[in-house]
Amino acid sequence: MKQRNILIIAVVVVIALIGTSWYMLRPNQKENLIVSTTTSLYETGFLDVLKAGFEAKYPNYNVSFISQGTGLAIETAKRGDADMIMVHDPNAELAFLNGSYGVDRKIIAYNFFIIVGPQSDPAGIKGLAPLDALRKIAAAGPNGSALWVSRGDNSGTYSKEKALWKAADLNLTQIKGQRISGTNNPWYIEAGAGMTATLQLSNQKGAYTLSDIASFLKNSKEGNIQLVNLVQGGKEMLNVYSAIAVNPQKVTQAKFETAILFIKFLVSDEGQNLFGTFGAQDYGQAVFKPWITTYKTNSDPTLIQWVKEYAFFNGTECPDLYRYKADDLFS
Amino acid sequence: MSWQPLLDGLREAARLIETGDREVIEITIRSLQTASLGTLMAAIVGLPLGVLIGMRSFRGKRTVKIVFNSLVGIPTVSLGLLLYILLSHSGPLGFLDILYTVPGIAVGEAILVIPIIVSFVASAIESKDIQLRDLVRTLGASELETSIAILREAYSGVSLAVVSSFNRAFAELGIAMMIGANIRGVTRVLTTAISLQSAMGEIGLSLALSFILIAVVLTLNFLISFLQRGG
Amino acid sequence: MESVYELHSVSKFYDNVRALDVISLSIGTGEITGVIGRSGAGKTTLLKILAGLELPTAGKLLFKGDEIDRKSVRQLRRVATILFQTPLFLRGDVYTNVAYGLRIRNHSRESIGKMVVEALSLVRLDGFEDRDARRLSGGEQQRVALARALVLDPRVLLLDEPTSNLDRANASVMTEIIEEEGEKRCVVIATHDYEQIKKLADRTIFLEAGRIVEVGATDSIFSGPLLANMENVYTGVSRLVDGISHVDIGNGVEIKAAFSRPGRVVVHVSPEDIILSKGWVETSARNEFKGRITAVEDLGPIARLKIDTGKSFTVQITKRSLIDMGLNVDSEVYLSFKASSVELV
Repeated sequence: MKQRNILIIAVVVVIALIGTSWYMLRPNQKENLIVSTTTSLYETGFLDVLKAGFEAKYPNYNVSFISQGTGLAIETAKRGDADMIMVHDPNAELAFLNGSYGVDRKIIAYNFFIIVGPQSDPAGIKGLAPLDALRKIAAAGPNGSALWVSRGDNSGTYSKEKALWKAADLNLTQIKGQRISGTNNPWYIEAGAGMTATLQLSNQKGAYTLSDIASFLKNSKEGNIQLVNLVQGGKEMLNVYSAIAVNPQKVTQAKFETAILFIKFLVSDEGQNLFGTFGAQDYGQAVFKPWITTYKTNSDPTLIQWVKEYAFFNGTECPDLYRYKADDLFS
Repeated sequence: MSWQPLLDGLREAARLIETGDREVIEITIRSLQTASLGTLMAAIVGLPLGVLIGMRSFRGKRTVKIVFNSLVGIPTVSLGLLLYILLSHSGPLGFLDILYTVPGIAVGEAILVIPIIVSFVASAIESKDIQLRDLVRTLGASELETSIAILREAYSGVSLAVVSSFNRAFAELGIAMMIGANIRGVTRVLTTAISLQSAMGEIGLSLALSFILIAVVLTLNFLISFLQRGG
Repeated sequence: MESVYELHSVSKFYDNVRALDVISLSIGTGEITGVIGRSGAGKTTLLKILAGLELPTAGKLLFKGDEIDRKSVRQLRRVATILFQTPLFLRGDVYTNVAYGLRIRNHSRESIGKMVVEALSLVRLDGFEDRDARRLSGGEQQRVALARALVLDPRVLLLDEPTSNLDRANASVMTEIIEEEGEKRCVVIATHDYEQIKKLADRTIFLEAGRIVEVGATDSIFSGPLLANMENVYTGVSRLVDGISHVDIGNGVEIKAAFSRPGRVVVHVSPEDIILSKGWVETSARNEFKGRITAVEDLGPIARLKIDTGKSFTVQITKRSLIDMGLNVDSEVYLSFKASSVELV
C-alpha cells in the first residue's frame, strides 16, 4: 500500500518536471520579444490582436506584452527587461530618447481622451470645451456637487490629466488638498490604479474622470459602468501612441532587430489595418486610429497638424540623433 | 440582484471546465507547474534545514526559529518586488535570465515557501521525543541516518509542511505577477489571470477562474489525504 | 578478564550541573556489572557515556584501549547499545523495529529476516513479527526492545532500569535472558531491583551524586552499609526470641523472620509477598503493621504501593484489588506478611 503511494507521488512529480522542462525548451525555439506598454492598450484586449497578427506573419517569433502603465513601462525598458515600449506620453518619451535609452521612435496610432461622468452631470459640463469643463468641476467640487477620480499613477493618462489642469490655470496641488465643505473628505480622489479600475471607481462614486476612449467604450459595452461621455474632442484631448525601440548601444541585452521588425509591422499596411479595424464591430468605431494611414492619405489635415504640435520633437517624430540602423523606417 | 455575479461566475466556471477551454487548461497546468516545482525546490533546501534546526541546540536557536516563523507570512508582493530587482537584467542576478519565465516564478515561489517548510519541520521534529534520537543513535545510526529516521517518524508534520507550501505557492499572486508579468502563453497563471480579468472588468471570467482555482486546490488536497490514509 | 572500558577522571556536566564525576573505573567483558544508586545519582549518565550517546565533558574514556572522541564515538555506537527504561518504537511492526539496526548496517534482506526471527525467539516472542510494536504489553515491548538490541550482536549491552516498569513475571523473563547473554558480552545494568542485581551482577558500582561511593563484588556491597533505595531492603539488629529472629529495623518497626541469626542483619521482603487489608485481620502471618499509603504506581494489571509504617514498604497487588478495596494515597491500611517471606541478604 505504502509503495503505491510513493509511486503515485513520484509519477506526479516527474510529470510536473517533464512538463516544466518541456515548457522551458519551447520558448527558446522562438525568438522572444518583450514589449512593455500601457494599461489602456492592454486592458482593451487590442494587444492580443496585434500579437496574433504579427505571429501569424512571423511564426518564429513570440511577442510578450507587459502592461504596467507608461512610467513603469519606461523604467522596465531602461532596466533592460523589455526590448521596446509602446506608450502615450510625449514628454516621457522625449526624456527616454534624450537619455539614450530609446531609438527609432514611430508614432503608430492616436485617439482622444474624454471626460466621462454620471448621467446626472451635477456640474453641468456636458458639451463644454475641456478646459472649461475642468474649471466648472473645480468650482463644484468643494461644495460637494462634483467628485473627480484621477488615475494617480505614472500613466500617460495621468500625465495628460495633469497637463489639462495646468492648461486650465488650476493648481492641482491645491485641489488635492481641498475638502468638501463640512466634511474631511477630498472631492479629488486618487485611485492609484489602471484605467478600468479607475472607471469602475468613478462609476461607484458617481464621479467625473478622464479616460481614453477605447477603455471607456469597452467597459461601457460590458456593462461595468453607467458613466456617459460628456466632453470630447479638441486639440487638448489628443492621445498619441508611439513605439520606441530600446537602444542596444546602451542596453546591450535588448533584442534590437526583433523590436525593429515589430515596429515595422506596426507601421505596415497590415499592422495599421489592425489598428483601424479594432473595435469597429463591437463599438461602431475604430478605437485606435491608424496614424500612418491618416498621415499618408492626409485625410484629416487639422488632426495631422495637432499631432505634429503635440507629439513631434523639433518637427519630426524622431530626430536624426535618435535614429539607429533603421533608415527604411523613416523614408 | 446582488447574488447574480456569483452565480454567473459559477456558471461560467462550469462552462469553461465542460468545454475544456484550452487557455484555461494551459494556465491551470502552468499554475501546477510553478507550484510543484517551487515546492520541490523548497523541500530540497528546507527539509534538511528544518531537521538541523529541530534537532540541534545552538546559540541563537530561538532567534532563528522566530525569524523563520515570521517569514512564513511574508507579503508576496514585497518578496516579488525584491526578487524582481535582483533578477532584472540590470540587477545582480540578471545573468540568470529567468525573469518572465516559468522557472523564474518557481524559484520565487520556492523562496516564498521555504520558511513554511523549515518552521513546520523544525516544530514537528522538536515535538518528537528527544529519546527517539537517542534510540536511533544507539542502534548505530549516523547523523544522516538519524535525520532520516526522525523525518520518517515526524512524517505527518513533514507532509503537512509540504502540502501547506504547495497550497501557498499555488494560490499566491505577488510573485507570479512581479516575476512572471502575466504574459499570455508564457507566464500567465491562474492567479495572475484572475487579477488581469478583474482589472479588465470581466468579473464573470475572473470569478470563474477563482472557482476553478479553489476547486483544484480542494481536489488536490483531498487526493493527497486519500493517498495518505491508504498507506 | 580483559578490560573493555576504562574511565580516567571522567566527568559530565549538563549546563553547569555536575551529573557525573567518576575518578577511575574499568569494566571488563565476561562479567555483568551492576550499577545502583538513587534516582539522579548519575546511573543513566554513566550508561549514556558508555553507549557513546554522550561524550565526557572532561577526562578520558577508553574503549578497548582506544580513546573515544567526537570522531570515534560513532564506531562505539555501532558496537554498544543501550536499552532504556521505557522502550520507544519506530512506526511500523515489530519486524521493522528489530530490523532497523541491521538495515542501516546493510545486511541483505534474507539474512535480516533470519536474524530477526532468531532474536525474537531468543526473547520468547516467536511469531510476533507482524504485530504493531506500540500495541504490545509492557513486558512484550521491553522484550522486543531487547531483541532489537541483541540482534545486532553488540559487544556491549547496557541496560538502564530495564524491568522497573514490569511485573515480576516479565521481569524474571528479562532477567533470565540477560543472564544468558551476559556471558558472551560486556553487560552493564542499572537497576533498583535487588533480586535482579543479586542474580545477575558479579560486580556492582554504587553511585551517589555522580560519584562512585563503592565498587566491588555484589555480595560485599550488600553486606556493607546499606542502600535505602533498594526496595524493601532493611538493615537492623536481630535478637533471637524463641529461636526466631526479631529484627528491629528502626522507627519502632520490628520484623519477625523465619531464620535465626543474631546481630546486624540485612533483610528483604518481596513486594508480592505482602498482603494488604483494610482492617486488622487475625492471620497466621507473623508480621502485621498499620500504615498509610504514600504512593500508588499504576502498572496496568498490577499496582505498586508505597506504605509508610514507620518504615517504607513497597507492596505489589493486582489492580482489581486496588479498585475493589478503594485504596489510594493517604488510605489507612494494614500490611501483613509471613515470617518465611523475610529473607536474609
